[in-house]
Amino acid sequence: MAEPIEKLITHNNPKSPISEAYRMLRTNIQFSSFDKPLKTILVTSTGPSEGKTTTVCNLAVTFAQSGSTTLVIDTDLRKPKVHKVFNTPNIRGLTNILVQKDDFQRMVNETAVENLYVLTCGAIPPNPSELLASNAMKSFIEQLRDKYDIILIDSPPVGTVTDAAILSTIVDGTILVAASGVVEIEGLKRSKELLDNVNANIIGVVLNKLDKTAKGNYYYYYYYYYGEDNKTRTKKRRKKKHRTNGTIQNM
Amino acid sequence: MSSLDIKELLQFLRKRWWAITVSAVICTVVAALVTIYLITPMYKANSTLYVYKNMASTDTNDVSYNDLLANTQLVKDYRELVKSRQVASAVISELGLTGVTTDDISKKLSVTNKNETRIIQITATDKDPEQAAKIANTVAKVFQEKAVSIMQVNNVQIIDNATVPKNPYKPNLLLNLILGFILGAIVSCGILILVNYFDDTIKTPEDVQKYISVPVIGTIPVFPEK
Repeated sequence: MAEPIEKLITHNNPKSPISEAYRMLRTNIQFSSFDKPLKTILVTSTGPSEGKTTTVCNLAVTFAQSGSTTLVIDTDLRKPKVHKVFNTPNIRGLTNILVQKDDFQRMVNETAVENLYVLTCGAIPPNPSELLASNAMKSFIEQLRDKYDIILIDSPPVGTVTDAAILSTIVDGTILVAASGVVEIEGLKRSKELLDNVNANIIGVVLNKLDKTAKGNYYYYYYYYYGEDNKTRTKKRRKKKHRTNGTIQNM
Repeated sequence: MSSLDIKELLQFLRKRWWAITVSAVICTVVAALVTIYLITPMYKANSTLYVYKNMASTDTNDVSYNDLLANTQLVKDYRELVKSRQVASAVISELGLTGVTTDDISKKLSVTNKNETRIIQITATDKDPEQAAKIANTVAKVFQEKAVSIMQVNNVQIIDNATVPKNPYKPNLLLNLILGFILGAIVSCGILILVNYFDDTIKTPEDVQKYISVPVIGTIPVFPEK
């Protein structure tokens, strides 16, 4: 069994409103495609520190909790972070598979979460973009399809390096993480353009770091209402509840 | 600007009420310090005079509208007389002031008449309350003499001598505190609105829809601080 995970809220506190937000994201992904189920999903963002890794890892936990065999791959070959979240060693990983043709089964780490497996990035290569654009990467992802129910791929920011745009062409769908109050309008527009240029299938945007007090952020209150019992917020919740119901039905 | 924008703006400001409050309080404190330590308090002293000038009108019992009108015209004359160099220099020599010009004295004086009556009020302003009273009284005395000789006024009587004022009329501490508070609040609101105006980041799911028309499939609130 792997080391305990401290940072993952979905694992440590599954009943929290935030875990519920991740579960709702999972549901939305599952229902976003009917004909062709989304198996390989790339998660990227416009800039660094918008919450790609956090989103990937928490989302992976909720998928694993729902019984899907889940694999997280860290394709950020420049600043890998996934191994830090799961406390797994990052001595060998994706780059070993791509470069040395090592058996991937031996590279995948188990985690403290049942059904959840992690493939770290491995040694940092000098040419990350070329490596990710290689046929080896493409066939490797194809090969994984049969082994796992869902494969979540963490990547470098699409607005900074081309890696994510390359990867978006070999996956079923791409999720764009946008940090509220951080990402600029023009930046987000450009990210969408970059993904559109390579005909990426953008499933949708995950709005991260949402200020719970800002206008229109009724999702939070919904979770709050069902997640915890707090008498002081009753008035506010009632006001928001009506609108929340409408939104849920629209989804 | 639509009503929705204003609503959002108000919400934005409401969320930052503490910043506005802090700014308002700081400005109030600054206003208090400036008022107490930097502004020299000024005092006002008043003396009142009764000035009677026989009008051209033959029937003195009947105070016509023209008489009243002429009276208010006369107040202007008195004002100029009070502010004249002749009066000022007389005051200077009477009080034995040194290093003071006639202009300085004139600037300290003002003349008003009370409600269309023949009673005029001479106000002297000075940083020293006693000096203000002295000037007001001396001016009244000098005016009494000069008005008769220069303006052919029949009679000038001093009704009230100026007393030494106890409280300065300026600065008004309470008024300055209120102004400081309001100014602080307004300035901080202005800065916040400006910051908000130049903030071109994505904030809400609606922003995402609006700018890139991609569905928002998840919203993750800020993690609570541990």
